[in-house]
Amino acid sequence: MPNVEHTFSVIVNTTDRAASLKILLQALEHQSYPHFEVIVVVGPTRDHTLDILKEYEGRLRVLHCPVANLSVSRNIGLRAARGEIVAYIDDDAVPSRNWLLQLNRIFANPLIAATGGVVYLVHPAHSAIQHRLGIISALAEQYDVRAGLLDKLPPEGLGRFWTMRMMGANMAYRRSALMAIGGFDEFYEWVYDDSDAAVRLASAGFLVQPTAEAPVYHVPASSRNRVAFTFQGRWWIQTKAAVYFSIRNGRSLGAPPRDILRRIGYFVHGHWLWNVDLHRHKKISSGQLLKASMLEAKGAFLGATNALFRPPTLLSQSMHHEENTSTEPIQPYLNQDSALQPSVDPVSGRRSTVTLVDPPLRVALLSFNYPPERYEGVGRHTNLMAKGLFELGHTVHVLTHGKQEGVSFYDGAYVHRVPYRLNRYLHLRHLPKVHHLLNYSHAVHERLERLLLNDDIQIVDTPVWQADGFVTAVSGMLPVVVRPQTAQRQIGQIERDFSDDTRLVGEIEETLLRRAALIAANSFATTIALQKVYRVSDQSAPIQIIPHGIEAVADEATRPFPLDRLPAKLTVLYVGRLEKRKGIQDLFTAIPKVLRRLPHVEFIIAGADNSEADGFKRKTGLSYPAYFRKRYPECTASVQFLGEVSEERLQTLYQSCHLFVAPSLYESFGLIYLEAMNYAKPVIGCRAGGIPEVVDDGVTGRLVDPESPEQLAEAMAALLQSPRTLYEYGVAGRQRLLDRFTHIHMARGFEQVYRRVLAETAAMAQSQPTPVQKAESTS
Amino acid sequence: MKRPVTVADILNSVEFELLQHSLMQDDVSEGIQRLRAYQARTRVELFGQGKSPAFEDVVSAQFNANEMMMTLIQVLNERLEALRQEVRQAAHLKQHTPSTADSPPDWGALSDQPFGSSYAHFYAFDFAPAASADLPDRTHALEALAESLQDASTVVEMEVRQSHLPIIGGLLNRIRRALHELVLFYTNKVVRRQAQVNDAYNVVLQELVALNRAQAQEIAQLRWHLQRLTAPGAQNDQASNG
Repeated sequence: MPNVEHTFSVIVNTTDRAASLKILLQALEHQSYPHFEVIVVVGPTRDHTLDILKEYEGRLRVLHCPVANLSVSRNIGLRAARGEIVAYIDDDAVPSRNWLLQLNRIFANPLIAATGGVVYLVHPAHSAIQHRLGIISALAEQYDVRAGLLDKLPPEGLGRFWTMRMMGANMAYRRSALMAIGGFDEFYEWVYDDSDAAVRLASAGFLVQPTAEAPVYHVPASSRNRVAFTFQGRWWIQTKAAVYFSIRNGRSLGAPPRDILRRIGYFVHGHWLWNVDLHRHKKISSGQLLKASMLEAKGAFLGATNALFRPPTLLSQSMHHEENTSTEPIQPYLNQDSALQPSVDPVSGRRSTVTLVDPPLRVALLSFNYPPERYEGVGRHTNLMAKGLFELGHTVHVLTHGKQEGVSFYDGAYVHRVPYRLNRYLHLRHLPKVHHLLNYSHAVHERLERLLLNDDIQIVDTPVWQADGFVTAVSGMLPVVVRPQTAQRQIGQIERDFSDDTRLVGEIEETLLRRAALIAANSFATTIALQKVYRVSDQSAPIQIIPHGIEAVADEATRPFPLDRLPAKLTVLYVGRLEKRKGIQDLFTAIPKVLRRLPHVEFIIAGADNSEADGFKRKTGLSYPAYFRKRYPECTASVQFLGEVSEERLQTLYQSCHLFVAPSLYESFGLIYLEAMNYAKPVIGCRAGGIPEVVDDGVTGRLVDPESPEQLAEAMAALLQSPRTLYEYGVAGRQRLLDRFTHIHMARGFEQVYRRVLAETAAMAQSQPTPVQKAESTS
Repeated sequence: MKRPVTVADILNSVEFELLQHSLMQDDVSEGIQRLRAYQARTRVELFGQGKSPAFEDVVSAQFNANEMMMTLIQVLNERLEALRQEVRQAAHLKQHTPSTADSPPDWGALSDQPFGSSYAHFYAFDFAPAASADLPDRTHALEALAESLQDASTVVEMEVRQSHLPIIGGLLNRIRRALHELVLFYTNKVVRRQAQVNDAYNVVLQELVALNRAQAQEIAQLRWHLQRLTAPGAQNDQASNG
């Protein structure tokens, strides 16, 4: 098919949605396809829409629609459009980066008169696909979401004439074709305008063919017709439109009158039943039910009488000819600054205030678990990376596991939920860990393919944990940066699990590391572990150390040790799972020694008991808390075991303690120390793993040898007896965090890494001779 | 004793699934089956025992069948376009990677049926087993479709309910028969035309699937070459051979 570059007119119809409109206009700056103009048709507005549009003076055209009628507004835009293609997008939606590029690809087929892409509903709790490859009959029966083109074929319903249709939030037409059918029927003041145009185009012999690509992300905003995410709305307008649609299109396309009547009955009765249901659940009052019922009847009456006795309100032929003579070129929306515009969060409207020197990156971060559903470990780290990268102006897509496909926004990043089924790699199903890992990784790969196509992502970042990016790394589709954390092979070694399943997961992890474009280790200790556990060194794949970072709390939230008013009781906090690797047994031995010297000290131990997994319970028959109570009964009054606590509670604990202690035998980095330092707390850890890279011994806290309870007790007692040292260590720790370990520092590190990888990939691609060069050299 | 799974096996599986993904015809196969079921059901509904079909019902059923076939062709066409791109990429890679001395094994014997002359150039490469795994499904589905099309009634037969009313019964029967003949004349015209359209669709589908199969084999072959070239030791082999 020829590679044709059409000119587009992007038409936005808006009334009283200034905030959403601003976000859309910012998002349009990121379109990869440059040949488009923007026309904004403003309805009878009462907010500051016109002020927003003033900022774009000279870049877009503003037209006015005197009435609050979507079809009239759409026709005004259509008449003024100079592009060969008119693309409509809702003012409360944002397009994917390749939206117009994909639509242009579809229109390369000269037979296609209308198309449109997927619409993702961005909902606070129930994100889903709102529209994909929809079909509708002349009697307004519709399937809005279909798995593929072959789904729901043959369609089931009374209608004999079916056509594919687009949703108004994301639809594009060949201008000449839309003009030929008279544009939009202005009877439809809201809803069914899009379906009606599709049916009329199809019945006039034009090809209507939506695509499963070119998505827009729809963040429903309130309007005069409905309050977003509530039941409040002028739903009778829908009934009016549906009745009108069914009668007009049903009659013109030969539907029997009895079927038309059945559909009308269905609309009126269905809406009435819905209202009754709302009333039964006390969501609307009796008065509202009565009013709604009367309005439904009125809507049906108006729809029927207009369809039966009045001609449709279409663009007049004279108007058609007059506009067709216009040969003015489009006024491109993009300018030289567009490429350097930071990413925008379509929900909050936030965007970075950083002035970008290079175009923002488009990054995909992978994490099986992700907040707000799962707030732990890798998910938390990924979230901080996403947040930091967004604050630096980059576009971030996070792919995480979900029960159904959907997109939401969290901390500025697109969060794509990826469901997966165990329908691949069936010959490996006797290895459950491998089977799950590969199937999920494949599902992620497929989603990444879609993101590459539609959102033009440049690079993928995956943790070793769960090996989400394994299939993508094997495919070579995109450069993959790998973040090594504690992984299955290490856990297998600790837990002495030598099963085939665990061994193979370890080998998958190793292969992922070897296939990485770059390994982003969080500490020097991690690079040593990589060499030891995976035999991966800088020779096998480039390794870069990027320390973890956390979000610094506001200065007001920090509570350094109070020098002016010494507390009556000092609190020592431990956070972490209760297991051998975390040094819990050493802490238990040290606590009585401290309490003997300082009886006014209280110990708070927060974290889940892991005595079963690490074999402690098998050996002693007791959980860790029970063991402590039995072994040191005299200390139980001074030690609180809280178990696993919520994120909010954890922050409060960090804030209120006076000393933080975590005598882990190994930590690849030691995020918990940073959490305590964030609140200006002195910390005690061990000289093991990456801990010395975080804790500056004698400056921000104390380091002791691993498995040395005497040293631990001594360090705790010494610090607790010196208020000034507690204060000074705490303040120094906070300063160290602000200087080196914030999520912005971490994001900057990743930004440099990504740019380096992309530059190397581009250089490698350039070094490959083209076919022409090759032919020349051989001749 | 069963050989334990290795990471090389897993990598092969991933490669295979990636290839399958680009060739996966599950939904096409399912679509053809669905079309066949629809044909069969419609045939029973329209031409089975009971009332003679209304003209609109016949046309409506035909339009539905058309829609399904066009969709199938559209899907296959999109697949073909994707495959073409992959072939181009793989060919480009092959062109820019030095070849190894050892030659690939001859998979030619695995070919289950020859291709038409228009695809003769695909014989330039040998066959790889991975690519052919899902082909039988599609072939069966297509054969089923062809069979279904051959079976389809191309003529609607007349079935007139006899009237036994005294005196005017005979006249009524004659009028009914005349009216039915008129309707059937037009219906049969449309049905015959539809049968021709169905045949044409079937030919296009056959060609698309054959082309698809040929390209799949070429991709598999190119992948095989690529794997050999990128395998550790390939460079050394080449150096020692050179």
